Amino acid sequence: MDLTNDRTSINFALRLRRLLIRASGSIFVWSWVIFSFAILGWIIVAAFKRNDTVFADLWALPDSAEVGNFGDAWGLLNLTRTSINSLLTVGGGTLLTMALAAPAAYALSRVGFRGASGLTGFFALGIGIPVHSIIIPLFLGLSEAGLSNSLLGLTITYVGVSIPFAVFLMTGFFRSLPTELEEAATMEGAGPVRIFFSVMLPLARPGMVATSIIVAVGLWNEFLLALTLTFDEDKRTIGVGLLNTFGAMRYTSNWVGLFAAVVIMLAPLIVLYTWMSRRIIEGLTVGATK
Amino acid sequence: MASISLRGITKRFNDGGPEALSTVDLDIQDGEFVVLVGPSGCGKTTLLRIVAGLETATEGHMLIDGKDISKVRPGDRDIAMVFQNYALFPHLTVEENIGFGLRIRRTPKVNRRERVRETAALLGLESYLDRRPGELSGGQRQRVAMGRAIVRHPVAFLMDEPLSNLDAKLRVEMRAEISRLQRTLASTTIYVTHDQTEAMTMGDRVVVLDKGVVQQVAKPSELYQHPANSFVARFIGAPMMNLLRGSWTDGQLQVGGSRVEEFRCILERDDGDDVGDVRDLLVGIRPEHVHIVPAENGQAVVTGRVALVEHLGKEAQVHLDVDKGSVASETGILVATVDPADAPEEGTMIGIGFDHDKAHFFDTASGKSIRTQPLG
Repeated sequence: MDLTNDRTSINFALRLRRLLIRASGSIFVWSWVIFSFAILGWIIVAAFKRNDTVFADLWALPDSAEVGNFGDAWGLLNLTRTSINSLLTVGGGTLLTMALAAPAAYALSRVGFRGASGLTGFFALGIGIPVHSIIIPLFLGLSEAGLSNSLLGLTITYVGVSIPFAVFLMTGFFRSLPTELEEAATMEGAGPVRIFFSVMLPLARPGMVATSIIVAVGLWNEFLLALTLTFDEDKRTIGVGLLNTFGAMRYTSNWVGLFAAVVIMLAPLIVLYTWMSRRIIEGLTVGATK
Repeated sequence: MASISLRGITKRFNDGGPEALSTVDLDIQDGEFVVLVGPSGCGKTTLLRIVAGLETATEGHMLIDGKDISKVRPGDRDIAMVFQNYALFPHLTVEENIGFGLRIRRTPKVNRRERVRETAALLGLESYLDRRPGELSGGQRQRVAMGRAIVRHPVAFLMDEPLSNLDAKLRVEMRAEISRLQRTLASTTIYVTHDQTEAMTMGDRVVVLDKGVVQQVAKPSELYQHPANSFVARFIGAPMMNLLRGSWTDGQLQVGGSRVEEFRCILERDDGDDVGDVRDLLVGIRPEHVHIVPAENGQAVVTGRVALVEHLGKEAQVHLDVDKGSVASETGILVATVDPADAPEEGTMIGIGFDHDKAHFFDTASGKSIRTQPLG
């Protein structure tokens, strides 16, 4: 009888402990979600207000939607030019990064040549190098190469700083794919290059998509390199354009214009994440439970 | 099709490490179906992978039709393999999976389509050609994997436990189908399994492996009736052979401490000479050759209590709890297969006797089989 009571109270204590741990984790996550949505929601709502009322009542909805703010923001951001520049550098940078990272990751994870694990570590080390520590040599190097203040120079730099992470992520993904598929292809007469393009790359699509999105989002939000390595107005990316908008706002107090500019900059990312969230999760977690 | 010869195949995964395979010599005739069987870790899959070229042997050679192909790339050996998990390409259709090898070899599209469709018809896959592996059942996937192997008309087929992922009923069906296909194609086939039922029903010859060493190579009936050692004796046959401790003294057989009356055989070593006067040995008796007798009967060689009776319809398996010193088994259980009508009640004390001419004898130390000759 006593043993049964002891067992029951131990089970209850264990269950309560698990419940508390799960609950505290949920509270933390949901708090962060609510906070993030609150900030985003506030900016979106504020972008439709007027400058004279935006701070009068922080949480009030606008009396009427001032869509003209977005027109102002378009002009402030020089959005036509900056968005094209961002699309070129981010799009080009992402494509080139994946074109280089995918075969590199496959070779590192599957080909098994001497020094592969050292090289993988070398790439992983690259993730830990802060871009701030290399900005001066980067600037000098690009100047020497005649690539400073150019979209090409910025794109190449974007590729260089994105490859470590992309290789790291893709290596994990390739490792999760079953080796029998390569062996089956080998038995059918396929060589390594054919196996990579016909078998492994198509199977790596979820990982490629997830990695591409993460790289692209990071580059879209990137600011320091774009600010430092480009200085002509027609070379500015959207993130630097936002800085200009902020600078202009200090003189014009056009807060709502600034908020509208932020919304314009965030909109593609929100759409991308919403549309591709399942693929991102799939790509990041596919190897986790194997 | 072709003959395959393995000469002195040895495999060590690490320098100086233990041998996964030890000096395997094997000749497989053109069109023969050879089964490699053994417990997990015995080296059967490693041997198959060496034949495929997916692993390299540390020592030894492999020949196909007399030609040494030890250094030839897997894709150039003209051997097809069916993997345990089928290894179908999930992003390709059934048609594309089956025709993958033909496409690599640049077979013209028209020929490729025709051969794929012929193979699909042979395997009953015609209506599934546009589907992807994810839309197929286990048995269908297995057929696609076989189709991919068959379509190339290779010189040999290698199959690595292709039925292990199927349910019991499907396994029985596919076993028959594979055997039928092999006979239709007259293909040289090496088949790996841990299931001794598959080995016994499918193979022209069976290679029993244990710890990287070939224990015996023989026809299934030969393995069953004349196992070369106690390992083969216990591995082949279900339920497994009972091994009782015995001795051979002054031409008399003692089992479980009791003299076996009217044992009219002599025991011989391999060279034909009598084994001598005193020798500890193991007496192997298959469950179907065990008789149940009353415990107090003088013919009972061991007695014990009935621990479990399993009724299987056409027969009953009686599990007898005997003195652990009498049997070479950790559990101390001896199994007899009897007619259901003769099955005793659980808990009763019974004795067992056996058919003398069906008994097998093994050296206790080496496990090697000891031959018997009937007297008079």
